[in-house]
Amino acid sequence: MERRLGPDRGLTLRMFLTMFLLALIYLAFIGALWRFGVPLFFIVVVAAVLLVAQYYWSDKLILLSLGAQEVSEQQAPQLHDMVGRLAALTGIPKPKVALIDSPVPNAMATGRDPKHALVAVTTGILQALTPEEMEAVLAHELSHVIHRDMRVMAMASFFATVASFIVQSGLWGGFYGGGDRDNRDRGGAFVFIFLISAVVWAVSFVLIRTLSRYREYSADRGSAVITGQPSHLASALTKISGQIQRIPQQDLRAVEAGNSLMIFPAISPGSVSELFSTHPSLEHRLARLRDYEAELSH
Amino acid sequence: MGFLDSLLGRTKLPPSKEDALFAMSTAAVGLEASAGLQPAGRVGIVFKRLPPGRFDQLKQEIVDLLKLQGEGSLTVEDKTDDLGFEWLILDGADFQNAIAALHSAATSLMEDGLGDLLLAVAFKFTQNSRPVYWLYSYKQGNFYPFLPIGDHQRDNAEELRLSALAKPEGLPVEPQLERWYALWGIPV
Repeated sequence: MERRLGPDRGLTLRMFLTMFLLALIYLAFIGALWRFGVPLFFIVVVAAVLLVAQYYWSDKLILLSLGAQEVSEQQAPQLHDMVGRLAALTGIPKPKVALIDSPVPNAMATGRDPKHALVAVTTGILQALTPEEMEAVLAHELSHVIHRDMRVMAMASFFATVASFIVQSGLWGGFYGGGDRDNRDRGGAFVFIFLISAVVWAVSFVLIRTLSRYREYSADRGSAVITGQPSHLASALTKISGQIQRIPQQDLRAVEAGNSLMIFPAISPGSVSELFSTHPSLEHRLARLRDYEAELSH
Repeated sequence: MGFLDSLLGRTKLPPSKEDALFAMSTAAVGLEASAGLQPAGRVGIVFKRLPPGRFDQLKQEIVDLLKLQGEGSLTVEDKTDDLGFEWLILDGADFQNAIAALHSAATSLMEDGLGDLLLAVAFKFTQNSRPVYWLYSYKQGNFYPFLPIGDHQRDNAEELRLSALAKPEGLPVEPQLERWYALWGIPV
């Protein structure tokens, strides 16, 4: 009997824990705001508008800034075939396919749900990878689509956006600027709310980044589940990382906007502590993929 | 995949649905009369490959099983396509016998815990001497037409007409057009 990969329990548990902590700190935040009589409704409405706008358009803006061009089946037949076949196998509608004209080898998936998904790859990655490695990368991207990562991350960031909104408006001179100066508690309450928001912002930032890394591990796992061959993704990631390090910084900056969405961030390794980065380090991802390979072969 | 699976980032290949596959054995007769589709005697099953080794051994067992079921009246071709999928093609069988043989092939994959690798069955017809395919999706558990006309071009109008004609013949047709996945370079 052949071995197949199932879900990774440890990863699922840690992801659940992160989301739970995030929910907890958000609840405490809402409680604190409510307790101090902050115009919560107004702030939430403003943040919701911002977030919905971001949710619907951010991916399009990023694609625009990266110069991604949607390509037809005739323009990129092999890429379309591969995406179509993997979509059929995973039971999602076939995503749109776009090309980014850049030597930096990378790939990304956007879209709020599988029906609006788009997979974009750079011209560099098409040259760099073998068909097997490309399949593994596309399977990673389709896993993001299947996991609805755009939606999950947008929801996870919602109250962090509210907190940053409060902190920033506090820095500008704030929502407590004018009006009733009779209330002597107001000054103290303002400082308190400002501090709470700053703490919520900072803590949720770390939690959101942690969640983002877990989503990357999950998409790596998803790629291994779909292809049955974790080693293909491992060799693809190694190649991508090796090539990114050899590419001049100004070329990397041209694709910086999409880093959090890319399969591999185009920044020099070690420049950001892993705790604050959107992606796990290459070493950690390769170690996991080796574990999956072992899981399949014994 | 359920809500919780996507929230917790658990990828699973959807399980295979086989029940509706048998609808083709009767529907093919009706389609010949109503749409002028002549069964071309070729049926192929396609599934995702796993790395060589035990998988190839299993595949050979399935090929042997198919040959045995054909009792010499049909031939079995075994092809790997450019996208890493395995095709087992039965030639010379009527659809009823082919479906019975493919059922046992699919069953042995499922018994080995590999049912989720099954992608589709392709039934080949001819219409005015051009090939027309009816594809059965193991993921969706229903059928859709595929009419390739040249490189990455399909005759969508005729596909829609055929799907309308197929419903009264009792063939369950995939309602979502975005799930009428193309299989270019189909070796069947």
